[in-house]
Amino acid sequence: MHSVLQQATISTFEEFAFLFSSGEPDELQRELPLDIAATVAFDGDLHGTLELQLSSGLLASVTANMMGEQEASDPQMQRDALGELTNVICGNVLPTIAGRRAVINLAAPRLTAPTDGVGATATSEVGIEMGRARAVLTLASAA
Amino acid sequence: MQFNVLIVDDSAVMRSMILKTLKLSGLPIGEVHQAGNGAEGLAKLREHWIDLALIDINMPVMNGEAMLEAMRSDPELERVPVIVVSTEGSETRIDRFRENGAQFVHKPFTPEQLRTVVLHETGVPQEQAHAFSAPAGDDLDF
Repeated sequence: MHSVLQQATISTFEEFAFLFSSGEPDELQRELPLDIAATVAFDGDLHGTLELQLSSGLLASVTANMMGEQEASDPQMQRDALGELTNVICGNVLPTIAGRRAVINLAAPRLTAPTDGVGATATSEVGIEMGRARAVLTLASAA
Repeated sequence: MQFNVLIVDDSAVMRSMILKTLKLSGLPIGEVHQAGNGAEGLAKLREHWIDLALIDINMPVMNGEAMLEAMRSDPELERVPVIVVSTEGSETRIDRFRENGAQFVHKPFTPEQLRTVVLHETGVPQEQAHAFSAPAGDDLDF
C-alpha cells in the first residue's frame, strides 16, 4: 500500500503541478517542517481519510504551476490548489486498493492541521524539488 | 467553427487548469462560461449557447451526476455533449455516466487526451478542428 501511495503522490505532483520528485526526501528536505495540510474524507466501499501534508514553501510553486504566476500568492488559490492535489491523489489511490468496480464517495477537501500520522494505514513521504510532502492514508472499518 | 464551452467545477484552480489544457489542445475555443456547481451550470446552459459542457462530479449544491440527469431530461439541453472531468476511479460509476451519454476524462489529463475526447464527443473530424485551431505561438503560460 505504501508503494501505491508513493507512486500516486509522485505522479500527481508531476502531472498536475509539474514538480518533480527524486523519491525519498534528502537530508535538507527532511528539515523542512510539514506545516500545512488538506484532508479528503471518503466513504462507500472504503471509509477513511487521505491527508496531504506539505512544507509550506512548496505551495506557491504548486499554485504558480497550476494557475500561473499571477495567482501564486493568493491564499485562497493556494488552498484550492492543495485541496485539488489531495483530491487527485485520493482518487487515484482508492480504486487501486478497493478495485475498479468499487464505489467510493469523496468529500470536498478541507484545510486541516497536519497530524503525526500515528494509527495511519500507510504513509508516504517524498522530496519534491525544494520541499517535501507526506501522504497519510487512514482506512477505517465500514460503519 | 469554434466551441463555446461551459466548465463546471467547484474548484477555481481546476476550472483554470481545464481551460488552459483546452487551449493547449489546439481546439478552437470560442466563448468560455464557468460555474461552481451543477445548479449554476444548468442556469448557464439556459442563458447561453453551449457546444460542450465539461463537468466535475463532486460539487456542493448539485453534483455532476444530478446535473447530467437534469440535462438529459430537459428537451432543450438533452443533446448538449458532456464530458465528465473527475478523479472518479469507479468503473461502476463511470459506466453510469456513459449510459447517460457522457464521455469521461480522468484527472490528471493531458491536452492530447482532452482533445481526443472532445472531438469524439462533438463528432468534429480531426481535420476540421485542426483547420480552425489557434495559430502556433499562442501565448499560454502553463
